[in-house]
Amino acid sequence: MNAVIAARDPALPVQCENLSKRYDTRTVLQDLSLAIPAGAVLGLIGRNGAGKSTLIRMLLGLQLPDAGVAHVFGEPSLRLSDAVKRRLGYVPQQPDALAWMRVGDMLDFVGRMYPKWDVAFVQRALQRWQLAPAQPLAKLSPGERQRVALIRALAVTPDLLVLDEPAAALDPVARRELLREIALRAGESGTTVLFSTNIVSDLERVASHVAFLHDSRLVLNTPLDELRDRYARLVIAVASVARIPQRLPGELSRRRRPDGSCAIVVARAPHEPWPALGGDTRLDLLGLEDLFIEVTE
Amino acid sequence: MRALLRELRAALGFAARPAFLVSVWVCFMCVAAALAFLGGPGGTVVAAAIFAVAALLGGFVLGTAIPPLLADARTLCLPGRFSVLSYTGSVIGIFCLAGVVLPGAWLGWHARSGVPAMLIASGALAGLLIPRMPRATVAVIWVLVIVQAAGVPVGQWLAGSHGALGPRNDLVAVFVVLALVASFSWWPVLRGDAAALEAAAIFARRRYAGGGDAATLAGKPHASFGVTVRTGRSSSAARVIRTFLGAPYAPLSGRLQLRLLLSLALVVGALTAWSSWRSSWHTGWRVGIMAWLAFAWLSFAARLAVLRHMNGERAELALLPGLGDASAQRRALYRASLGPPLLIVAAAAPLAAAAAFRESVPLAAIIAAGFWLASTVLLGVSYIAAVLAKSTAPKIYGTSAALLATMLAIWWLHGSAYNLMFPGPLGWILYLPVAWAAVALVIYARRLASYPHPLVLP
Repeated sequence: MNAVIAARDPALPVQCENLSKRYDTRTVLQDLSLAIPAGAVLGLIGRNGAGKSTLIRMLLGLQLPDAGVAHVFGEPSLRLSDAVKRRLGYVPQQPDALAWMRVGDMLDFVGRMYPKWDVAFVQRALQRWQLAPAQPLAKLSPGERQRVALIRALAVTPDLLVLDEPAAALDPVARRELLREIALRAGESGTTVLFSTNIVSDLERVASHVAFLHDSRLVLNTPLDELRDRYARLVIAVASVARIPQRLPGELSRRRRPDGSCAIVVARAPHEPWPALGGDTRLDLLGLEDLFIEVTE
Repeated sequence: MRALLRELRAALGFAARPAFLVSVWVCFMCVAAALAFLGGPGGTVVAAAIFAVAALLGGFVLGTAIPPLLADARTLCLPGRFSVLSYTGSVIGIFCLAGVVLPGAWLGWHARSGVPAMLIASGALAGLLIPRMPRATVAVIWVLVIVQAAGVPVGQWLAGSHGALGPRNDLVAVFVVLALVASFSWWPVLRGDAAALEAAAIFARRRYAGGGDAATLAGKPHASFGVTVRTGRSSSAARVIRTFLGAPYAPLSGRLQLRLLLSLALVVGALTAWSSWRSSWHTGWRVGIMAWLAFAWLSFAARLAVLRHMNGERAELALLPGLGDASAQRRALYRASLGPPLLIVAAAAPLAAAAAFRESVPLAAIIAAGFWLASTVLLGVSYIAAVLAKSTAPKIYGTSAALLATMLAIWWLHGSAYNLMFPGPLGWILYLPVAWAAVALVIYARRLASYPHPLVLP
């Protein structure tokens, strides 16, 4: 997954270059570039208000960026053709469209627009998630509404599935089933998945790649397998703090702790050694959650 | 200054937007003041009715803005609170002057019966209490106030004089006040804590209300799909968009269309019958046509609000295959959103012609009526273009409120019982906002055309 993209690649399901967005005086995204390879499951994580939903909307052409371009399957996302739209499944954070219809009617109506609509999956999923087709959407709870939206997105048999905090309103059982479904789709059908979340354990379960969105930039973007090998925290004791350089190679974040010691998160290239500081320096290999907290706190 | 304005906007919500303040006050206060001080066929009570709406708006701003501001200043120690409070003080002062002092002074000078006082008091009270009421109650009160206000000119005309009114109108005014008092939630006041924040929360809920509740108004969710949506015909892009918009836009089955039409016929018929019974068959026709047009624009335009939700119909439609390229989508959006209301407006034309024929109305009055009808269409189209071109919720309020307020003012004065024409220069001054709506239409249509696709969020 390249942070910098030289040219547009039609084989890449999603790519964007130098996306920027400001809301009034606040910069949400700044020169953000990203490419998701086919078959990847990219988990996008960031603190509340970091700009995850804005990024997703701009990647899909739902919102105008102030600068930069995004492409979906090689087409500009602001001018997607029907052929590309048919390969897309999208679940917004709070799906509230077509609330005046019943569950079954809505799925039936929307399904007519998609040639690969999976009717059998719809029936199975409705039964499994205990959703009555005759139930009006307006009367469903937020979690149930989100399940219906997931069914609608998955029934498209998408090549690219984009989920904006899909598990936010789901109970633990439904969340586990959703993750299983995502893993199944990615593993068996090669579906590319982009999902944003605040739940780190979800990422660890299904994601093949993770990206941290912080301070309007992607501060980390890497395959999950390489995470433990490439990122670590150096804890420098109080006595040695004065000796450390202004900036270490591969430094991602630096934080003074209440006891006066200093914690620095560093990244290294594969097979390269960690920065050697000597003295009272401790090296901690970080789990995903610790790494996220260190980088974004 | 910018930070101050931002804080003020956060506290006051849409009410602090200049477009909203200026447009609505210009519309209502100019008309009311002109009627009150320059005179005219509307006389005392029509002026009072329009003043009442102005007072309602002023009260609404005060009732909405003051509690959160005070709460912020007192409990949250809002930075810059003194400047905010000072600035707010001047805003409130303007509202008091325009919405309370001016009508009050005029009332003291001109009041001839209890009705003008009741109307203005009801308006101000309703405005103050609206931020504390549940949504359904608010809707009922708005309807009551508007019906009352619209009913006054008709009632006055029926009474055959320009000042005195029958006891029934007094009674209606009393009912409005009683309804306000009865529907007010007194418990938070008695409890005395957190009332301000609760008011702000209610206000926020109403501003960002989702399609859920609105969808059940006419969506008939209990009907099955086979009955609800016509499936036999080919799915054109405009047809798909109408389905996404929901009722009354949705292409409903014959049975449901009949139900909706019957509901409309009941309301319009009741108004027509009441007017006919009180006065004459001719008046009944006029009132019926006005109600018909009001339904055509207000019910459809209100439904377009679903396009403003980021996670709703707009996003779904943008990613739905089969709607064509950007220009095809734009055409389909216009066709879908304008088609049904324009059809209903067009259906009013033969009714108006029949009424004119029966009454042997002079040519000048027919031309004026045509102009009035065209103005109504222009205002409606401008409103729809504004909704489509501006997608974020708060920005739309200024324009839409001004357009709807202008439409109401024109309906009241030109579509009322005064032969569809208001004599003198005042009548033509009223059409200045119509010219403004034409300019707004061009601006919004160009803006929509400049987007890569019409469903994108700016």
